[in-house]
Amino acid sequence: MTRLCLIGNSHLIALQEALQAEPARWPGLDCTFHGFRGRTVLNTRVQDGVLVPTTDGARDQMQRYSGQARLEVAGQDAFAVVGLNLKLLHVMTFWKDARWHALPSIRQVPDLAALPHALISRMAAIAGLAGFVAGLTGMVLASRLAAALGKPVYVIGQPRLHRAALWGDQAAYFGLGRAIVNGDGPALAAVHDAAMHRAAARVGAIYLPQPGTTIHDHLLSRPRFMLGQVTDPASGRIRPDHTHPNARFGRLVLDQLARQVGVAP
Amino acid sequence: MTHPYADLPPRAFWRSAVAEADRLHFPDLYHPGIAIRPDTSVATAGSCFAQHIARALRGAGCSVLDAEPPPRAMPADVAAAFGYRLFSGRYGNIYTARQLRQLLDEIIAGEPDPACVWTREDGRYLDAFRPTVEPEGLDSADEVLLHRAYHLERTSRMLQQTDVLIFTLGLTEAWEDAATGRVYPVCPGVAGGQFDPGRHRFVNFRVGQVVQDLGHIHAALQRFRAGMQMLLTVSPVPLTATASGDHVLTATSGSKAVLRAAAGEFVADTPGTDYFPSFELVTNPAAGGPWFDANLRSVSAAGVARVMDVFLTAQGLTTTAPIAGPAAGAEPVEDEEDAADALICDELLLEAFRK
Repeated sequence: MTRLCLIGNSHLIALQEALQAEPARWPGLDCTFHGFRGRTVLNTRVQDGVLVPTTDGARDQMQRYSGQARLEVAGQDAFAVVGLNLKLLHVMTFWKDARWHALPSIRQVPDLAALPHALISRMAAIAGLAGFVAGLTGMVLASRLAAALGKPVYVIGQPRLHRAALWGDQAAYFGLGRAIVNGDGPALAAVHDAAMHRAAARVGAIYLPQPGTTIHDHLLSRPRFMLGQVTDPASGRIRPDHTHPNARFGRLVLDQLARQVGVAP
Repeated sequence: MTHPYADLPPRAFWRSAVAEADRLHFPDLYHPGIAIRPDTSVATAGSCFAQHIARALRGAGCSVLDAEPPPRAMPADVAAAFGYRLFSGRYGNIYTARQLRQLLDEIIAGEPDPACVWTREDGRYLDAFRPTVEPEGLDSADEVLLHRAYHLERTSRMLQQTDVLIFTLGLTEAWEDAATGRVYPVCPGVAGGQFDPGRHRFVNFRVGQVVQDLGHIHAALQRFRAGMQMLLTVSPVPLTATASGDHVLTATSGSKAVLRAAAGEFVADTPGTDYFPSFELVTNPAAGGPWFDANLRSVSAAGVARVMDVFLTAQGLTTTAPIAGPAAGAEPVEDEEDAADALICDELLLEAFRK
């Protein structure tokens, strides 16, 4: 039995729901889930094998989501950092500013020097993105856990946006539709994964990419693996949710983790 | 009795200008012949010491041109490793006047030299004329040529906007391709390519050659923008190694003496040019110090700050940012969940994890 501690934001829920739906599917995993919001998890530190808060805000969240302000972590065999702002949209931020040789779209540009974007190399894109994500909450947490506990740490990003997001403001802002239409999707996804692998490896963690069967057009998620809609707690109305995965997605990720720790279902 | 020395100002005499002067600030050392104002469009190039000049001028709020800015999200340390924001173009270190001359000639010709492609031992590709700007190499020879063409064109457009080019002379030693005469910033085989003793030839430029190259550079710059001024400095950083056969200390003295003499000759003969004594401020015993780190080669942060303080003060510019620190760049600003999603995320978490 491998004791697996999963720490993440709201994207962690899909994994917990998958486990609740099929508790017998992963007999080799003993999972503990701890939720945090935003960057609050960074206001904690590992002290004598215990994750303790360093601010009142962190203490409040730990109490609220885990029922205790001290989380025993020394007895865990492995850790998974889930979500926490590690997502594909960051490569789109680079793409808004830069182009590189592997992107089909630049083959159509007659005067590269007149491009409003910087022409950079693919390796510069990977190195730059890896450097950027190294400063994000999920990767910083992974780094701290790996350094403090010496156990395997797996990094799992947020899923790509729901396919239906393509027609929404967020996708338009990041240019997802344009990237797909002009053929840049595969190269962007490759840079995203390469950068995540590199950033994780640099802090002693292992990146687990989004399961291939859940991906649509390289940059989006298939609807059947996403929540699609949620109930707005303020108004009680159903509203679209293009961000969060569902338990079907969580099941695939737990399978990935189980394979990694050698207890595949 | 009168004589030419009778009416000279105090800065002309060692005792008043050096021995009894404020040797930390040297208020009378540098009288700018080229004025740099916050709205002056400045370009920088040269050896590694030139990086400090660009950083200090940016810190003083000056307009330092950047032909190839990095993506905004690229962290400053990664950008620097890939040659961004170090100089006004992503040309890497330009150690010799010959190198800059050849770069300008190539830009004017409008086509990248196909001989610029080097291969590395791992099978990746480099631009032989700026091998350090892609530390992980490029995917193909075509990509090297594509990036070089882009670099040349962007540098050309940058130079067309330049009021003042600040060029820091670093070395007289270089390796050239015997067939083409082109010099490399790094000896073939060191950072890429293959050293061929039958093809790659050591050169150690002399004063006359450096002066001639500077003249050629000045003339070429006028083609990009008529009236462009040129401010020269000499890097105080010693040679890492010499291929001259001399002791590296002797070779350093020789190279720096050649560069200092060439800069002096060129400026004396060329209107619209000037010299700033960064070399003297770091290496002359009268300037105090030592201004080097423990390796006796790298100029210390205090040394750089001191040199740039003299420069900025003389120019009437005020430092608004630390000048010895790392280059300012994009800090990873983390975007949290969309505001509209925040409450939803909170509720989802609470529902799932309420204990």
